[in-house]
Amino acid sequence: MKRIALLLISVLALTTMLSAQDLNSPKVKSQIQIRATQKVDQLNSNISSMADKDYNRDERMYFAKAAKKLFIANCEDFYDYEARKNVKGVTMEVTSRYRKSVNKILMRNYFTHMVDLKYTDVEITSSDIASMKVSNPQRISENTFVCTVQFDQAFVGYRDGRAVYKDITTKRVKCYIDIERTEAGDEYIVRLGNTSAIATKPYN
Amino acid sequence: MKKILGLLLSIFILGAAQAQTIHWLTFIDTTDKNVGSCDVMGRNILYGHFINEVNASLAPMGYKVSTHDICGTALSPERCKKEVESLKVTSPDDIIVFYYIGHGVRAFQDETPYPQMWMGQVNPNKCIPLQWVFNQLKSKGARLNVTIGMCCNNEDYVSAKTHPTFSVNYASPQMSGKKIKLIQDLFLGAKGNVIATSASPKQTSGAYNIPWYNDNVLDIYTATLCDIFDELEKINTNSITWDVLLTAMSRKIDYMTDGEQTPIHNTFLASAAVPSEKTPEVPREETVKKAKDVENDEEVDDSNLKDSLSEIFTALVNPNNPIAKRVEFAKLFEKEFADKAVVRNISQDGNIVVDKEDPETFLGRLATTNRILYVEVVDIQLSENGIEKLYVREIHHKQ
Repeated sequence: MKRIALLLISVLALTTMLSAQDLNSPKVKSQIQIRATQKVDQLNSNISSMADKDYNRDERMYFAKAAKKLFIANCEDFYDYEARKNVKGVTMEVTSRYRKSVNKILMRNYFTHMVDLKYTDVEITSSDIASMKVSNPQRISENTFVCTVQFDQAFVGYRDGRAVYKDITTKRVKCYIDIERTEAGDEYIVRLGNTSAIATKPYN
Repeated sequence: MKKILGLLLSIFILGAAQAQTIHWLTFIDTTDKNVGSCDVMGRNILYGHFINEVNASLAPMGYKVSTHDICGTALSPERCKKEVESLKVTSPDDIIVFYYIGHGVRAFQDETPYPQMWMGQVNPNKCIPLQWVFNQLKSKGARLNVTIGMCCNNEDYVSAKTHPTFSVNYASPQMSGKKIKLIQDLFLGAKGNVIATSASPKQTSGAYNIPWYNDNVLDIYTATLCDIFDELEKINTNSITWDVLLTAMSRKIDYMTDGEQTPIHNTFLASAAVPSEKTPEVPREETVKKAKDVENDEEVDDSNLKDSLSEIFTALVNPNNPIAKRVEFAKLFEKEFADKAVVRNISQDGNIVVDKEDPETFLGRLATTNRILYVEVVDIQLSENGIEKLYVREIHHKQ
């Protein structure tokens, strides 16, 4: 009986160990990393559109609403596994050429801010997918991994046709990958998390 | 056969305007005891690395897709004959691509260099000549016909061989502007007919462990076609022709197999002007209401349903459509999903579920993106309440 129990325990342990290492499969990892970059690319496209004054305010809000859904808990309160506490929502670090400090604001507020920027026109462009740097996914709980995607974002603000502010910021977005074990096999869900500003410099 | 959803019927009404279509006829022997499993892989790679990318490149030119994906137990000479004979071209700009993966054979007295296809059975009297398919399709009046047979060209069966050496290449579901233009050039820059097969007369076609497709076993011909497609944007040229593509494949395979397998082809083409891009429109609410008033007991087969949904989603992601209309349609289409429906996003290689979303999030994302080129509907499960499960693959812009 004891032997059977030991055998069962070791089989269970082995199974758990093997399945928890699924993201180490090069093929699976590659596909998940691609998905993470696609989501970040989508985010950047939405940010660019939500600040674009060629759209009216209602239209810019569509982009903001869609952007929220790319993030963990749709930018609302969630349990942060790494911080081991409940937090009010994902955050975005905001920088300026004219300010040394980095401001951290809730992503949902950042999007509203982008929709209502006071410039007469805004142009935001970001690195294409091929240029993004993706880290190796790291396990943070039994069925959750995290990786980061790094890219550059250029911002130009215009007033009456004249560029009055320009900068380029290197940003890093956290991407959470949840694994759901189903009868048909493992399924993955990719959601974006907090975004850090690594460096800001003038953009010529 | 499933009852069509009321909203989807509107797509058929819209489709009645007869836009040009690319017809895919793929016949793949996925159940043969010797080659079935590698042909399953061949099918996955062909659809993921070639067919979807062509569809994505032609969608901006206003091309609809009609897919006849015949495999498994559905494969038979009778089915092939029926599909080829009954295929209808509705526009002179239609394109037809026929692609066979399976066993092949040739008769000793045969004058044509092209093989006959077994189509998943063993009666030699029932084999379908590739030349016959070519002649049939040529007579349909399409802009371009491409007939490809991946099979042996003698009486031997396919067997595994030694490993060639290539670099690893996992599918990237992103396409650059250059690649899109090259594909448009290939499919729209010439009119006429093409016939090709994977081995010269009296040669066999081989299956290998393909390192750049994760060491899966599949036929070297399909693997090479898709590999060239994967590398298309690195080619130092602004245009590509069928002759260049097929000659490159032939040389590569001949080299890799030490001359044991040399694909052959013939092209009968004239240059044509590549048309300008068109924006597929999302259906309007009035059209949808009109469609729902109509008796909707039409039944359609799975291929039509998937192609129609792909068409809807591809129109939805097109940034040339006004954002308000895209969002409006996304909200409308959301009602076609059952409560607690799930949309699964599938990897380009194989069937890994790389993401899951609820329909509102999925449709909202499509309606507000300008980064997605094409959405392929891989599978769909319907119930009385609507769409229960949807499996899609997305191809994104690379730049």
